[in-house]
Amino acid sequence: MSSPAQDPVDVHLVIDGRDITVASGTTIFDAARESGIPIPVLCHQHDETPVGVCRMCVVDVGERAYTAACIRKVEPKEKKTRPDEPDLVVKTNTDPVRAVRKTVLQLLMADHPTPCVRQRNTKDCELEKLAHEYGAIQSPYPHREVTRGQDDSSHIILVDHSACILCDRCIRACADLRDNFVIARQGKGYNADIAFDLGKPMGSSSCVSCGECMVSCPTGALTNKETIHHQFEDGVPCELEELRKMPLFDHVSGTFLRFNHGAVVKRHIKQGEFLFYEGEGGPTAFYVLEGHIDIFISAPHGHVHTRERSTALTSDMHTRLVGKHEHQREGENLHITHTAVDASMELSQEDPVARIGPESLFGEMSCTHAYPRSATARAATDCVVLEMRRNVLDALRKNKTFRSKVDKDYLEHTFENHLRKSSIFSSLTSGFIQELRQKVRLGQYAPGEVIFRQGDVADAFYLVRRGFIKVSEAYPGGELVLAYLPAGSHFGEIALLGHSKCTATCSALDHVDLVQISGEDFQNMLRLFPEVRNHLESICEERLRENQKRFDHVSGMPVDDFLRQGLMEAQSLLVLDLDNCTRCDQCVKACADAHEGVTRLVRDGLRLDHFLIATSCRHCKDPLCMVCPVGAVHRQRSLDVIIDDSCIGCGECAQNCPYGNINMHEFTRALRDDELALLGAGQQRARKAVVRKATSCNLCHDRKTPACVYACPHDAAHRVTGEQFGEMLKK
Amino acid sequence: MSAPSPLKVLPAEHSTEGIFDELKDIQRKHPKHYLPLKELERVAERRGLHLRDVHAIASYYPHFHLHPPATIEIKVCDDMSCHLRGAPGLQRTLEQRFQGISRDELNIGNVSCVGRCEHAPSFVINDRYYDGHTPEEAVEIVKNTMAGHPPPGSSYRVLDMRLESDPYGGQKPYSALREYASSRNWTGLIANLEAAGLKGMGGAGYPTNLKWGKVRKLESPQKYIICNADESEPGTLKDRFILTQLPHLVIEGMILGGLCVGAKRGYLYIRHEYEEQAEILIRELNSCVEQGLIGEGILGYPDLSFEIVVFVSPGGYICGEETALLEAIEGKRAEPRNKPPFVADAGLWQKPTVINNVETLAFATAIAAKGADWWKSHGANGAKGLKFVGVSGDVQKPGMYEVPMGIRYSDLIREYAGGPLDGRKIIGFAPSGPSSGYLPASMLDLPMDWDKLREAKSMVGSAAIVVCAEGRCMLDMAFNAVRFYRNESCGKCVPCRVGSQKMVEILHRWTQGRHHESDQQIVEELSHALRLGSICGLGQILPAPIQSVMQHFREQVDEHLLHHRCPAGVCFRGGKA
Repeated sequence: MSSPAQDPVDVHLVIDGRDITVASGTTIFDAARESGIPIPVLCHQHDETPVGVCRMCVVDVGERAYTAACIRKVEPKEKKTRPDEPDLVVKTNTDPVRAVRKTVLQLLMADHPTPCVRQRNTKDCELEKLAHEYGAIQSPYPHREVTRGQDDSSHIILVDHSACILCDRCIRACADLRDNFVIARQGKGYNADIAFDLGKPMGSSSCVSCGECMVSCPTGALTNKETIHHQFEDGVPCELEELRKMPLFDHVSGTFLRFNHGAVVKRHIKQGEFLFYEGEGGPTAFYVLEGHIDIFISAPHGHVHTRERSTALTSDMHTRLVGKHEHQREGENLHITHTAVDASMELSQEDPVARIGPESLFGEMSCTHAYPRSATARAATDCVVLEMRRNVLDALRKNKTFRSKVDKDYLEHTFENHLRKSSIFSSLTSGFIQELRQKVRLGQYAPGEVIFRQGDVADAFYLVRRGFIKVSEAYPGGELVLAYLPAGSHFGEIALLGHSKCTATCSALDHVDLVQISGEDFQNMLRLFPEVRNHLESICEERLRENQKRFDHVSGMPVDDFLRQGLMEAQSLLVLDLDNCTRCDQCVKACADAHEGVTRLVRDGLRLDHFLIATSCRHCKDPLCMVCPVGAVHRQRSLDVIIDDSCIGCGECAQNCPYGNINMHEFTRALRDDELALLGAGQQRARKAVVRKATSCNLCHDRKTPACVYACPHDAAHRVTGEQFGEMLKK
Repeated sequence: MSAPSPLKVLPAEHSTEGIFDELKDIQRKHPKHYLPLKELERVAERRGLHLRDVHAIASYYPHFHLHPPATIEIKVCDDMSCHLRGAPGLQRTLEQRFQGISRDELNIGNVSCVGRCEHAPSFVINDRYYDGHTPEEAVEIVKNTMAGHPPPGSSYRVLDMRLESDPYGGQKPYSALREYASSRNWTGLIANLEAAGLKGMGGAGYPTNLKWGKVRKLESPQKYIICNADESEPGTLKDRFILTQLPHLVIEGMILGGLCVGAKRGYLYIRHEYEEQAEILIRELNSCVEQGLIGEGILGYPDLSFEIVVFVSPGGYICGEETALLEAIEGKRAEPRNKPPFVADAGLWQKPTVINNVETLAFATAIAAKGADWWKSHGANGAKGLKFVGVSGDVQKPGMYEVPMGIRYSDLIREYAGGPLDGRKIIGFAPSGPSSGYLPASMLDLPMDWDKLREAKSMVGSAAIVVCAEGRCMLDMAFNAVRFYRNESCGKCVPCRVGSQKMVEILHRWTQGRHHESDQQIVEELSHALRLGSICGLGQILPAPIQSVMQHFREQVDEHLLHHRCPAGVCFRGGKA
């Protein structure tokens, strides 16, 4: 239920005698929490829309009745008798207020099966805890005569209706957090209950046992029936008592932690040991308790380049790894100086290593979205870390206290590097960034949520902290995804640079955290730092030119047709005449020979008549290859993908390409000393490490005769232009 | 080409719009008069709703049956007026005479006040209402119904009578609307209401000009005006009467209000028990459409348009709470919202909304037609204006009366309602049903004046005057009133959901002579939590009956608690909580 959206203004409130200024629309509960004033609550929890039904958080704001702090937003006072009069005066802890809370607790405790299942199992029934604090464990009210009963039909979740306080947390968890829409209230008044679907037993309802309800439940109404053990190879599973003592797990449901016993382990890592390597899969995240960890990229910076080496007699192909400074390709982004990795930092491309210390979280993206590790982690000192699975990480991320700490750390330690990651912003002074730090807004977006649409009026500049931003343009017949911007990218600048309308639609692919710099602050930055403006303007011009070209190409044509046509636009096509082809695979072998044993030619693909057209890139409308953990995959103007030098060889893009057009190349490099030190004496002979790099087939554009054409013994492979191919088809 | 669809396609946020009519229709047509789960599944599928949402609604309103009801479902009203006028005896008689019949065939239960208090006691058989019958007559009615010949229910026809508040003397010229549609002096209209001092007659007494002025000022592409005709408080009869006698004033008030605040649509929210009144309203609305008073281009002015939808409530006292009413129109469980935001800012579908009571709108029309001075020329003892009051309980002539504001309750009861029943002495009265609490006979000389009643910790409210004469137990009456609130609590917030039940249990044991030492302190604490901690007026006002009885009828309460006797001989008979 939102009142009409208005730009927030500062409002001034006095809570228990303390002056507090917050943005209008902030709830009393949040304002108090941010100022460290505790207000007890049962029906409200982080990440859920407040409903104000338990009445534990009622506070006195000088009105006829008390108001629920969790849902009451602070708005500017309409009629002030004097200008410095506060917008709202709140008393959270007077005797009459506490008396209401105590009665509420006594009423609930009268019907509560004390100790309830949750209290017995995990000792974290929120009702019993508050009742204890308020001296309301013994209720003076008559107990409910007929118990509301239990429902143990679900394999996972035990429903004890008699412990239900109708806080609606499970209802919102089921619908708002999980999109499952199974739980709702049923009945009316004192006979109201929670129900599943049309009032079925939970086990025969459409419940998918996601467990969000029991994690959200404050009492023993919804608890887990059995403990599922998650096994890790290393580490000691953390016991509930130990976790509950860590500030990190404040406000995380004990039922949840017990249910997930073993999903968090404590590991002792010796100096020099590796936690994981870049490119590996790994479904866990890490949290540093003690010691320091080095996060670095060991893959050399460069891309795969095949060169023809001619001597007087022979010509052969040689594929090697080169950097962009040595060999520059069309469409290469030269502005990027840092690579974003799956930790709150960016690594310089010159020297890709950084050190993190206690209370740092890393490996989040791999954990939540199964992306390959974007960097290697090695203990810089002896360390103690927590390793956790996705469900535990999710629970942490829902915790506002934890999140505000993460946000604070980000602004203090990472924001500056983040901004400077791109050479465009390198000239900003630290003083200015310090000022900006106070003004930026940190936003979170759910998968699919639109940040702005093409054609919207631009109002901000964004930095991606976490997750992927999908950038797409609308064309007749559908939308075309231009890019997946990874953490560390920025967007929104084109529109702010005088082209007031947004040129593309930007939406969240997964859970995305953004830093928002208002249009005003951005313009201010441009005014103070002409270099930034110049730099940005030149990029924008280029970008707009490209957009225009693409648009001219596409205009008036359904996007599917265009993409098909894109094939014809290509400078040269590689065509196999299937009538002549004997499937001898000489072409494939030749291709492999040319590229250090890795063939890029797949004798399959688009067929027209009796021709098979080998393609480098299918110009997918939504190319998932671009979802790269280090953001190394981009579209060129031709819409082909290009893989940046920062590729770490994880193979994610190759796996995601449905047409097999991205290949992994292996190279070798010498082992570093730290790597050698880890090897046992017997293994020290193997002094080479393997480097993998992704590359897409470019049809040997830069060469006269591709190896495959040269190799075909049946004259079935041809290198032709689009027009020539047209002629061939006519014959 | 699209396939013909039985239902119009509704936008997602309105997918529950009209769902009650659909459910009622299914229930009416089903041979067993209930909503089988299969049907609910179909409703969910057709509307693109989740099963849980349909179930949440269907299980909320007592009008919907998720299990087949008895073939003969008898429901006796035992709230205030009916309780005073013989409902318990009537129910006992029916229970004794029809015992042994299977529950599937005949079931006797209770229903909350059906708004027929002047002809108490009332009971309902299969949605047919019977008023003012003796227990023996009731037995005959049931027998006839069982034999397949249900006698016709009681009805309320239009009476030929002149009312002072009718500015048109029995005609329906819609003059005020014609005048304001021509002058467009909407600020003048609001000023007129302010000058007249018109207050919300639903019970809250909020100045009408402020409501209209606020919404008029707000800029919004959509605004609504709603007439709250859901009066359900025991003792309240006035809206049914006004809707029967003066429907045109209510409709004219809605149109005036709608045009004044800039609403294009109005909802007339009427309780489902008032079928006859809904028919009268629809007839009047049709006549308005014919006369060009409603619809596009009102009275030929192309820029004036306004439509009125008659919304029949799915039932429940709580629907009269204005935000619960909005939830009901939106097709949800009628649970009151947390406020703010107030309905003026974010009402129906979060749009600026005016909600006025039936009487308020009728009076607004009268003031618009004849002016503030005419309005203020009425009144007594310093108060201004007129008031419709329902008088029920222990009086000779229970009924509806149009009286000057400020009239003393003693004069009202004597002059209009014929004085107390059987010449008994009045011992107490409720100026406005359970929510005003009970005042002692010594306060009968209070004038019906908003401020004076507030000073007495009571209220003019909806002027549902319920009179208790000698022989009544005021503790029993307090218990009765609190029980009504418990029955009608929506269950959204803890103090009301749980507190109302606990209060009923405590008071019930008092009337049964069981009393714990700490009880009085607990009732105090519970009252404090209800008054300050509940979301809406129902929970906040719930302690009023017992608080007032503890204050004014202390000796009666003490007799129960200390001496285990009921001075009136009413209590200690078992009875239900």
